[in-house]
Amino acid sequence: MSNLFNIKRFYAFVCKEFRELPGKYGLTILSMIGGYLVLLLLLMMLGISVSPFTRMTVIMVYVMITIIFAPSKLYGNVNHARKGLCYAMLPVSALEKTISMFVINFLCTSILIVAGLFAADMLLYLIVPSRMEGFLLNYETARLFGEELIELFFLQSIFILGNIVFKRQKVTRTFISLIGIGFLLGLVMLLVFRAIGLENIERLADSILAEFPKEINNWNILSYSTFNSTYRHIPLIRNIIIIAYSVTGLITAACWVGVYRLIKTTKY
Amino acid sequence: MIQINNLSFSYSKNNVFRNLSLSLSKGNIYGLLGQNGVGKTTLLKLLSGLLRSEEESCMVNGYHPYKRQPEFLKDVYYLPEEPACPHGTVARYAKNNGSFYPSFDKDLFYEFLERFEVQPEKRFRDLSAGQQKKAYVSYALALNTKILLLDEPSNGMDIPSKTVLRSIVAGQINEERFIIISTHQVRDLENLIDPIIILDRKDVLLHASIEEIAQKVCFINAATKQDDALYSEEIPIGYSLVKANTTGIDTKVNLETLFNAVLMHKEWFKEHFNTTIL
Repeated sequence: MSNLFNIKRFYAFVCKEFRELPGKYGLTILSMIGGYLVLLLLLMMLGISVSPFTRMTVIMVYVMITIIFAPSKLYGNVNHARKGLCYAMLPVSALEKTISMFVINFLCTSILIVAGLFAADMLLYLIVPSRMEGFLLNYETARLFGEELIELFFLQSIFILGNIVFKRQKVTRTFISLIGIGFLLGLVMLLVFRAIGLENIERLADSILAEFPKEINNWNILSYSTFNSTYRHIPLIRNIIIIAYSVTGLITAACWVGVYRLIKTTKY
Repeated sequence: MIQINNLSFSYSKNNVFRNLSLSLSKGNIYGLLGQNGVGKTTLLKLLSGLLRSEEESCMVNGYHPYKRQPEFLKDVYYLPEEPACPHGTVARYAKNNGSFYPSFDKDLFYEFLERFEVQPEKRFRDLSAGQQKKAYVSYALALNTKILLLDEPSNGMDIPSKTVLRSIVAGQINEERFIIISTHQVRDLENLIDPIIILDRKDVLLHASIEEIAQKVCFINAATKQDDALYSEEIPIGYSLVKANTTGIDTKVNLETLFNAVLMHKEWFKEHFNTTIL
């Protein structure tokens, strides 16, 4: 058997991790679904009817919270000096463990929470359609769902790395680190801007904004559909967005390489 | 087969091993003894790949442990002194994890649990620390790995369970596997562990079989202290003595007094047992 990757062993490992998922995170997922139901019921009781777009936005917030906390709930012990021994010593390669972590954290957890929230929404829609302003899934909400899911994958990759890097308070410390990195980047950019000259930056920003079409209704630069329909045809903005996509992709890849290296080399 | 050549290891500034060399072979139950902090657990962790060793200084079954390759891991299991309490039941834990070890014997696992009187359908968190330990020991032995590293396996067990442990471990050794037991509870495992390895700060004080120990030192009880004794310990009927075996008498090795004697006369034991002084 290969020491790097063996499909049978990988499949067995993913199945094992999936069997353990309900015990570790099932209750949280159920609570999130319950919370969504309660929220909708409360809004209905207050006489507020909720549009599919608002419901999808709320669902994405719930999905985001669930998948941000998933790594620490599902794999919180992997770098623990005592609790992580079983994981470290299991005869599965570091690559298989890394890919399985992605499958369980992102695919399985997302599918479970999304399916649960969609089912809850559909249930209420079937019971009180008058308060729901339409079925949850339409062209607009499906597009929002797809785009947000890709962004959540990027976000979760950072939290998975944080889960392996930090030994305690993994989510909080990852948040603080992100804020810290953001602050440092801002500081560096400020210094660069000052070096270039603020008037020059202002001119550049004006020229970029002048290129934006007036009818644009989605300012999310990572939105692929907006990119495809609008930005793609404006060279300057297209290049900026391609750089943004590349940086996002590189950060995600770096997170996964980091996770792989840490799984391989963590000492207990 | 474990081959350790000039292994050095330290935790930041705390030097644990300096040029440690050891060679361990199949078919034995090694007893790893030593005072607190000499590095018994560290050695077991180095052998199981949980801590980093240099490739040329530590080879286990032909693999460098720290690479933690699946082919290496499927033949090695390390049971820590205080294993974690996993989710779910004992049976489920063994089913989920045991399947990754090709020689795992489920029937044997249930047999061991029965002998230890642990119910497989109980959740780990509902078991006492001693019962958890028994469940883990059953699992570790049923995995049938070629190398089994047990850190204080009898800690937390009641007296009947210690007897069961001895019986099970003795029945599980064969020519293809070897077991290393690190322990302070030498009386619990007397008659089971052979050869004996006594670790001192940074190196090995004694590495010898029970037969070799019995040939070179004798263990006698006497009413009075004797000057030529390497070590004497007061007991209710007089003194328990460890002496150089100059007359060739055959006495039962008392591991506890041996351990104390070795600590008191390190140079004498190194000289007479031909342990490399490093």
